[in-house]
Amino acid sequence: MNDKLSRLKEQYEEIQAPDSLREKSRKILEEWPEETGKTMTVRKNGAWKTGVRKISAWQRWASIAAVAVVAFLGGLNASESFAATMASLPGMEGLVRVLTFDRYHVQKDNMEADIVMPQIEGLADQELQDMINAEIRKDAESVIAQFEEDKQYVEEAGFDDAHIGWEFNYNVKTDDDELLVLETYFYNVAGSSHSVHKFYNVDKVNQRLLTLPELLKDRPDYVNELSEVILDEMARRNEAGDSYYIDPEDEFTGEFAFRQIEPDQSFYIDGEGRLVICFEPYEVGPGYLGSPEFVIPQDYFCFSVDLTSP
Amino acid sequence: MNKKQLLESFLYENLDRAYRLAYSYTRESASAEDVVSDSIVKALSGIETLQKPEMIKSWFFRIVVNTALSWLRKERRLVYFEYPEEMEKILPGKEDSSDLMITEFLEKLEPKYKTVLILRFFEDMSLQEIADVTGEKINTVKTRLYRGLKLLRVEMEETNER
Repeated sequence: MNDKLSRLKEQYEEIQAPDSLREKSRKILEEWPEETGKTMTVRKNGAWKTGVRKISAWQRWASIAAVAVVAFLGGLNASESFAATMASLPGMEGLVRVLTFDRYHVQKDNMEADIVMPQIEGLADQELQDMINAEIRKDAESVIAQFEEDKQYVEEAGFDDAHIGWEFNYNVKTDDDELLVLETYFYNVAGSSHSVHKFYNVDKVNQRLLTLPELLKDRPDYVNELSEVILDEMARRNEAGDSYYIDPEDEFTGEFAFRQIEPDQSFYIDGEGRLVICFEPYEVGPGYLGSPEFVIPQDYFCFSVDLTSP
Repeated sequence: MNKKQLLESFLYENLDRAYRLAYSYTRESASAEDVVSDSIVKALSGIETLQKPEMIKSWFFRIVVNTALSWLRKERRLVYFEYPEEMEKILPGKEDSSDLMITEFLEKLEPKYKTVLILRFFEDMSLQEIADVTGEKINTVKTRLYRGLKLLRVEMEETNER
């Protein structure tokens, strides 16, 4: 064989599967059941269903497999490749932006899924970017997998009039020289609605993903302090009559009331550098309040890139 | 040995090969890992389509190639960055810039040429086996092989068709 080719071959053979892949493969093979069918009862959309579950380990891999069979509709932003080229030029790394990377839309009878998958690009910290993008992709794919599962169930059960709707989409909350805040959310309409929001607060200057404990490291008691601010605000809104948050002292419903934020509560930094604490629907009040947000007064906290510089 | 055990022992010995093949498309290790594990799941769920034990290499490689290609279609625009630092990790001490590097080979060649060249010269597969992997006719494989070599500007020698 030609010299050039044998040298290429030598280099090619130095590419080795990482240990993590070995471990993963071993696990897939190990957990793959020998038998092909197993009867089980599952609860779906409030109804119980007994049936033959094809493969239990399959579920663990369902999102991977679903993505393989799902036909993604093309949908790159027109300017995307330009941006990519720009970002790879020396000195242009600062061009951090969010793009709609893929879109998946299915509508059949009363079943609809609309999945819009964003990706961040242009971060100099490739590892951070890949991590964020991988997480977004994973979330989007799991929504698709859940939709497929529901759709199959509805079709098999012949519930012609069942309404199912899955949505995954994003918003750019803040985008300036210092910060990029990307919000992703999924929304599931099936009887009552349900949604989950995630915020990616990216510090462009220091190339970091912000976390609440890190931002408030100078305020060791921030959990209590912020919770109090929020409770006061809830009381104020209740009095003003434009909201109804559960009173912690209420004899019957008090146990469901909001008391304290989580140390890693959802949050984002808005365009003014203010801290906004976020909750999911039903987390702190009735569903009609949507996803409540509380803007923390700037005298308590105001974002600056110096806070997070290493 | 049942089919699953056959696959298991094949993978035990050939995981590096499968990974390399996936990597040659994704050129990025996390995605190559995903392609391979995804391929294993597909192989397991379609294990019945494996007809002869001696076909396992072509059969599994075919799954890897198809999975990698659909990954490429889906991710095409995410492959724009190069990963020189990552490549260095994989290819320590190969810094001969005057020579054609594997990085360049993987980066520049269109998948259809890359596939046949890798399978023929790096994996020593016969034209028939390659045709089985790609699902194409032997003549197509031949044409691609010659074009691929030309693209690489490799002086054509006898390629000893089997």
